[in-house]
Amino acid sequence: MTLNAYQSMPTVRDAAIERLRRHAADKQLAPGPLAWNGSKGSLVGCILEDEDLARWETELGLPQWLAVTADGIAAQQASVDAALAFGVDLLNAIRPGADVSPAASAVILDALGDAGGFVAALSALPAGLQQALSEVEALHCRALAGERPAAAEWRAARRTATALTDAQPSELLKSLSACVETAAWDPMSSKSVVFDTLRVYSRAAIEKANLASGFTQDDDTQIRAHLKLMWDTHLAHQPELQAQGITVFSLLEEHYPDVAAKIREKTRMDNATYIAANRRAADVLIAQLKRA
Amino acid sequence: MTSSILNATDASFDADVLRAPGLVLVDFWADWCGPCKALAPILADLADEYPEVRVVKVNADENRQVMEQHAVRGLPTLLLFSDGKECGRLLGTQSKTRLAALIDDHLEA
Repeated sequence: MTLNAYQSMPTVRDAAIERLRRHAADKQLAPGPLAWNGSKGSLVGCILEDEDLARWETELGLPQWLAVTADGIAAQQASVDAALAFGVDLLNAIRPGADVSPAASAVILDALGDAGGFVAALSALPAGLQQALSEVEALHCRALAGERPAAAEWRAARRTATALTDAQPSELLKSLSACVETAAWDPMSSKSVVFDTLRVYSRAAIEKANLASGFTQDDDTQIRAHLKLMWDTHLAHQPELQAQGITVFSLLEEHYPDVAAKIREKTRMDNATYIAANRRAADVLIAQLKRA
Repeated sequence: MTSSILNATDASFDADVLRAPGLVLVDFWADWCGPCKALAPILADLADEYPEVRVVKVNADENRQVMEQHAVRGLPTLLLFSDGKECGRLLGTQSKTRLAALIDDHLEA
């Protein structure tokens, strides 16, 4: 099905932006998964004033994958104002009359290319993983060119990549393989594939940051063991302490401040990486929408 | 949210899940749980992709009884039931690919 953005009418776009701005000004924009309760909602909920994504297609002439992706990116913005700015940029990036459906594969290809590049720079890619990556990229290239690869081809690619993910020896390689298996859906029928691929792409970016910072699986194991120790020793049999707001984290701060510091640093690093990956995803998405 | 996703409670879990024929995928979630929110659009997509599978959400904060009955210790937790019997369990945010693989294994069994 060919879509026609804003039914070729700039006034449709302007009205959508106006609804979004009005709900944000009324403090009714709550970035998150698709939601609309009649007065308050997610980015897409505020644009549509509805949870029915069929209307996103029929009235705005935009593909449903874009709605799911837009809500996902908006939810990761640093503030409601930033989510609003992203939403306005996104709507303005789309030319009235354009069919932006193929941008799904373009965004996925960009994420796979970037993840493949930074993982390969840190670790030799096993031949099987390289081949699976190339196969999924080829499927999206065909989709981008207007072809519709058969459902069986996507399914076969998923099966191969899923088995590969389970067999990878490191978290970094697993994270790339997870991107490949997650991306292997037809973007014309799967409305969550872009959102889901960008989500696991962020996980791959975190694995890259882990390596760069020297954080290892052993560190993760040590942190989990200490948290379990705090629970078993202090909290498991003393619910009154839980009622006082004492947690495994506050206990860790008291008994093992070095481990607590490691958690804080890891959390800071993860947050910074998520924000950077999300910013990149937003920029790539908007650039691809402008091209359509 | 897709209209094909049911919201079950302590009171309705038996009818909605345990006495339902075929495959039922149950998502235990909470409003404060970020990973649960990331799962929401994936589940909605999956529910559309597999109309033969019933997808059910349970608010863990409001339905402690069913959570304890099924030993749900973390969120999000996804349980797959086949004719009322638990046949699969996944903890944490899952990709659509992994959820589809779990369902396919049981549809093809």
